[in-house]
Parts: sequence; structure tokens; C-alpha cells
Amino acid sequence: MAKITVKLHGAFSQFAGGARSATVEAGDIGSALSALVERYPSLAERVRDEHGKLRDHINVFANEEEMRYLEGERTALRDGDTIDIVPAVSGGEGS
Amino acid sequence: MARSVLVLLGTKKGTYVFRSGAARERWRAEGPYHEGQPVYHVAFDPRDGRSLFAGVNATWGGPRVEISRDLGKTWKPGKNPAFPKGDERTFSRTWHIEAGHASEPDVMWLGTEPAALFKSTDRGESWESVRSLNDHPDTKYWQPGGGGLGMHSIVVDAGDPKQLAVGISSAGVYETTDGAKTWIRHNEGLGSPVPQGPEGDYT
Repeated sequence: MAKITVKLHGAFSQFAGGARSATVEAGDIGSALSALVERYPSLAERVRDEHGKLRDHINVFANEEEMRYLEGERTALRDGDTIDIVPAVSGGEGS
Repeated sequence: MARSVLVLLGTKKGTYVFRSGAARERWRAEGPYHEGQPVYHVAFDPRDGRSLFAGVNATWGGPRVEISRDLGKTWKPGKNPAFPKGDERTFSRTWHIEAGHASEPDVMWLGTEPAALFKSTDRGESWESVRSLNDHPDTKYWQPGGGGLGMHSIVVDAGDPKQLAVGISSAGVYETTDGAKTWIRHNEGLGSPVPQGPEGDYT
């Protein structure tokens, strides 16, 4: 298991008691997210819906690369890697 | 006569609580709570006189019910309602929160999008799907109105804890008189997409 730093941006930190980052042990992005919500249960339903799908408007980066361009939640992680959970910017007229 | 008055306001940019005395001459505004987040409904629980519930539908982090036990001073999220495993529906918005009958002080009702009714027996901390309505044969006819397929209204009969009516856009009104075991459809004249059966308005 690798030691991973997960950074919480924007509104997400309020569901982690104001924490802006957390260190978790995980082998891939999916297990890092699981470890994060185990520590901060209020984040669980903010990150995924009731069927386990990642919510819309959430972008997850591993070492500054969006996970969709990697191997998604199965992207392997190594000691010292960083995950950023970033609210997507969207909206505008009519949204 | 009331000693004080609360006006609860859910807006596109958060929750506001307005307070006044019985004469309603001066008002004090508190908030916004849930700043910058759309709040579809704010409800008061008259049975304990201190609980507020806000239906927050955030772009980031999804929908949730926020609970205050001190008339809005502090808030925390409750557990989300959830459709059962295997159900194609996903809880996407909170539309209406309603305190249960006075004789059932722990019961709360929640209307969601997609249109569904959830019941809490722990004062809104967690929710159970009301399968008698959420899996009703009529659901296949329910279509979204202009604002979506939402259960936007819930009314509890003050005189009978077993009687409840809900409004769904666009499906119509469904009423139970047996504590949510069975439902009576009322949609005549509403242009509802739910067809009238040969038995009339009763399902």
C-alpha cells in the first residue's frame, strides 16, 4: 500500500471538517477514495451516489492528470502520489 | 397567539431564516446558510419546535438534506435517501420535507426527484423508500414536468396520521388513507400522463 495525499478543493473540504488534505494508504484511486470517505463519512454521499457511481461535476486528478486519461479508478498509485478532488466548473445561462 | 414568527426561505443561493415578534413589525434576517447552493425547500418541525430541514441540491456533491436542531444556528447533513440496489433511479434532488403527524414525533416525509416518497422514523437522520408508491404500477407513466419529475408537495392530514397526500409533476396527486400501504390516484383534469383506468380514479 502506498501513502497518498488527497487534496480536497472547494466545497468538499466542509464535509471533512474543514480539512484541505488527508493522507491515506491505498493502491489505486478507487481505494484511495474509499479510505478517504472512511475517514470522513460525510464525504461518502458527496462523492458517490447510492449505486456507487462517482457524482457528476467531480474531477479526480492523480499527479495532476485527470483520471479519465489514465485508468480511471483502477489507476495504480505509488508512495508520495497526490490526488486532487476538484469541483468541475460548469453552468451559465439556462443551466 | 404566536410569541414569535419564523419565515424560512430556500433560494438559489442558500437558506435564509427571518425572525419577528408576534406583531411582525421588525424582522431579523439570518443566513445565508448553505451559501451559494440551491435550496428547494426549508421545513420546520412544529413537534419539537427547534428542528429545521433544508433540501440542498448542490452542483458539487449532489443533493442532500441538511438538519438543524437549533433553529438554524448549526447544520449538518443527514443520510441521503437511496433507491434500492438494482433500481435504475438515482436520488438527484430534494423537493419537499414534511414533518409527520403530531402523534408520530419521530416521523418525517421526504419527496425527491425522480419522484419518490421516503419516510424517516428517526427525525430525518435516515430514510426508507416507501415502496408501495415508489414501485407503484403508475410510475411507468410519470413524466417530468417543466421543473423535472419531482415530488414537490406532501401534505399530512392533521386529523389522521394514516392520511397523506403527495403531488408529483407531472403525474398528479396520490393519496393514502391507510398509512402508505395503498394509494388513490387523483388526477382528473390535470392533463396527467397517467391514463384513467376503467375503475376510474382509484388504483
